[in-house]
Amino acid sequence: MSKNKYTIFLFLIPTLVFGILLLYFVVYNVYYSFLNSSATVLQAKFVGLSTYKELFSNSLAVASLKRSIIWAFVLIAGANIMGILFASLIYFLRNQRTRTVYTSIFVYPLAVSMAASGVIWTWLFNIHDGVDYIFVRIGLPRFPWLDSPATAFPSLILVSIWVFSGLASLFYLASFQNVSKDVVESAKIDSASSFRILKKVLLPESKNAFIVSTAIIFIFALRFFSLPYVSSLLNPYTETSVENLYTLYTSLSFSESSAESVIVILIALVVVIPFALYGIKRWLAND
Amino acid sequence: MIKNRNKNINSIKSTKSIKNIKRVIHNLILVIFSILWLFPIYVMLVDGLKSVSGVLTTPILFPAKSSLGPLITVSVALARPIFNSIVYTVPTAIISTYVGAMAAYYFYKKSRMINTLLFTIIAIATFVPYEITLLPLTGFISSIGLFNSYLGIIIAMLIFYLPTGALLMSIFLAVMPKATLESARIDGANDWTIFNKIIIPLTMPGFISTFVFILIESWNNFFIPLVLVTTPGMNSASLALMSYTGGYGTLYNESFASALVASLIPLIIFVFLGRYFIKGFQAFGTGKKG
Amino acid sequence: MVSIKLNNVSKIFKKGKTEFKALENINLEIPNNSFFGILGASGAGKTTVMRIIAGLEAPTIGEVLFDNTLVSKDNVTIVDPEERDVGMVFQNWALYPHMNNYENIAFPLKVKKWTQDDIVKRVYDLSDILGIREVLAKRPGEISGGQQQRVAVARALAKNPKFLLLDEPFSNLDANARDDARALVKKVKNDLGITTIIVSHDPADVFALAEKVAVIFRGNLVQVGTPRDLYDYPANEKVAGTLGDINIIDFDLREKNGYYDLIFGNFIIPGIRLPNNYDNNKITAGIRPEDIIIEKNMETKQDDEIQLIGEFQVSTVNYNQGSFAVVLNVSETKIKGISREPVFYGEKVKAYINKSKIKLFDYKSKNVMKPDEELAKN
Ligand SMILES: Nc1ncnc2c1ncn2[C@@H]1O[C@H](COP(=O)(O)OP(=O)(O)OP(=O)(O)O)[C@@H](O)[C@H]1O
Ligand SMILES: [Mg+2]
Repeated sequence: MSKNKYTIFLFLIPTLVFGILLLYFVVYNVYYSFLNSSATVLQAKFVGLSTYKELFSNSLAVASLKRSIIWAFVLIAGANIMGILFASLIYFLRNQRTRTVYTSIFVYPLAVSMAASGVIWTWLFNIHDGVDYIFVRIGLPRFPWLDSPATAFPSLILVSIWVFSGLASLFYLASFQNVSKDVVESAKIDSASSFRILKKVLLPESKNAFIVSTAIIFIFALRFFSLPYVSSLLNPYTETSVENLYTLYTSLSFSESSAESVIVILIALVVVIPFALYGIKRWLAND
Repeated sequence: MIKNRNKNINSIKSTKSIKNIKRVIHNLILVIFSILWLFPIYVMLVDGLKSVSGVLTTPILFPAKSSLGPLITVSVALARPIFNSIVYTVPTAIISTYVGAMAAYYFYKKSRMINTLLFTIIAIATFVPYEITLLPLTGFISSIGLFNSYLGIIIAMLIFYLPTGALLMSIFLAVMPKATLESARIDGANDWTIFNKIIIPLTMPGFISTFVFILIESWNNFFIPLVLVTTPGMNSASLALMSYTGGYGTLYNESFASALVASLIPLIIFVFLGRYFIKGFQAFGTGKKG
Repeated sequence: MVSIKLNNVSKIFKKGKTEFKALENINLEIPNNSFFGILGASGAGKTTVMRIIAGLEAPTIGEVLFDNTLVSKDNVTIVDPEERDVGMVFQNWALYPHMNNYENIAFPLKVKKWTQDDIVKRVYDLSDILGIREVLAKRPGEISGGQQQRVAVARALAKNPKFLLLDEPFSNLDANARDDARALVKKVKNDLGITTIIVSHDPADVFALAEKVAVIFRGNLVQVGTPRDLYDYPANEKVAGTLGDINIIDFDLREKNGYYDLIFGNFIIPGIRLPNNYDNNKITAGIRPEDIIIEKNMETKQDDEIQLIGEFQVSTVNYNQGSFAVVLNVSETKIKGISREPVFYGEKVKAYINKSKIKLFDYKSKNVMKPDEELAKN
């Protein structure tokens, strides 16, 4: 009688299959990390946590994990600060068109691939022909950028801030615009300065923007691969954890690569699960 | 009295000029940051079009005699990778959005506990850093015999972007009034008709947002082609940039030209459909229709 | 054309751990070709009844039958809404905003795979009946509320449904458009002779349209009957209120040789009969405003039925379609009556009451007590 009753499940199946496949990959990594599969082992077998021990005694892997976390946190700080700055500069513009133009200018780096950004910024960081050319002409010291182990990683962080500040500003701008116009107008009539309005009225209402931009940037930061890969290849001073697990994989240390994957997932889940649930709550509230 | 009035007028004048100064500073800061942010575009255009003699005589920051030479050389070299990228990403974005929308329709229609769980799985899948699947992904794609193939890349991309499509479309669908769906049922339409004739047209802006978001994200995905193809002829645009990364002896005009050519399609999309891309990102973050 | 039967239908909504009983044990039979009304306050469960009939919800317990065929039962939808062949006009019309009005009306026909020619003819015929021919090329967002409502009716009727469900179809219209719309719906229903159910919280809809009406109160079916019967003989205080404005007053009782005086401050109704076994010293009475006649000068003739109650002060006055709704202030309570002539705030006026129209309710249960005459016969 009800021939349509079950067709609706067909709508879900493809997505579910692919989603489950992805989660299966995650679980597979967990399984594989308990083996000792590598080029030197003919028949991989279960070794418990010993691959993890190995991973944690691998100083490059540990450094890359630390670096990814540091990158995420510094980027979150930088992008949030710049995001707030941009959002407030844009918010106090009167003309809607100029707002749109500036927003686009700050957001467009997201549309450029990280690989292309890497190519561009590597050249801009060139100590002869890049921005140093001007530094030297105006009497500043030549900055080593990617050429020195100490400055290479911070230089890449700067590039990532260039990419993600616009994204953060989107969320803050949306929050600011949610604040009732009347409140802002009445503050203006009380001749509060823009800075005061920002501090007393707009920012206190921006908790959600902070949560969202932090979570999203964290998720993206853990994925950083092509920017360091393109600008400095697999360089021990800029290598991220996902690059390192790729290095381990290409050097045929399969289980160690899986173990590092698992660590990255665990780091991601700390942020992803609360964030996903937070998103779902909103989704359900929409219902 | 008169003195007082003068004072008042003066203070009004001075607050006015303070306001003007503030406005100038406000705009100045915006302009300075805009210049900083647009700088890479500037150098891509100036240096991507620089002649060899220009490269040898001027630094990156300054314009010089222009030439289409590097752009043509690079375009020829990148034609195949760009074609590949189109083959990888357009089907990925269409399928992810359309099939993702189907799942979204399912969640929209059926909202029970079990579906909240399924939805959670899909949301988490969306946020997983895809690089961590390296080992199982390459294993899986090889085992189905699709290593080094277009289909292999598309399937791999779908694994990551289909959940994204479902998540975004669920967010865009959530604001549609249920009564519209119900009146279509009363009118005798089955799910398939409702989906194609009602849901898709009504969520078209969200559909475009999701499509653009996935298209740009997958276009810029470097990792999946890196690990799933080995023959240079299968390189994506992003991957092909590797041969222009510079180092001593390379001429930078070709590097910038290559970055320009490889980014052209996402940038053009951004210029024309930027607001959809932004809405996609906002939905991705806030779970709300931006 | 079909008769609809609800057997012991209950509907429970679960949200998390909390359960909400939206309908309880509803039994209803809607005869073939009738115009049936369902009346109830907001949140009473009217839309839920309609949605269960349409198949958009399944009853948690109970059965729904169309012409003795089971269509849903105990949480199972046996026949899906898309196969029930009903026409429905939603509370907010739910037109498809991305289609123009023509496409809206044609949609159910396209789904049924009618030929292009048949569709065109059907849409034009309906549009002519409903007077929306000129707006067919526009989208729903570009036409007035009244026109949208007509488009919604046309869409619902397009496929010749077995029956028509109207969920507060007039609530989004202003007063004038509402009168026109009622007339139109009545005409269409008469012309097509199709079983029609209208749900409303406005008794005016039901009086204008329905042959029979069911009153729902908090998910319970309290009374079924003709609108007139329910108006004059409500089963309880709530039905009385649902069918129209009514003063509900708790009176003290004073016995006088077998009859009772109903006393509320200086508002005293003399000579009322009560059942012998009535054992409370208070009683609840419902008096419709039109049964309290307000006069400034003594003109109204008194008889057995119409009696003078007393003199009161006017608290507020509202002009309303040829008469004045007067609110009297009686012992801090507002009592509504009707005056033919203008009266003004603060004036002293006389109030008469039509005794035969007083509805008496048991003070405790608030259920109706048998009218006077029947008591007298016993
Ligand atoms: N899907 C649902 N989930 C939970 N509760 C519901 C749901 N649908 C209706 N209810 C509740 O059931 C009760 C009856 O709702 P219904 O919509 O049938 O009322 P109604 O009589 O049509 O009211 P109105 O005149 O306001 O349209 C309400 O208290 C409502 O909150
Ligand atoms: Mg209702």
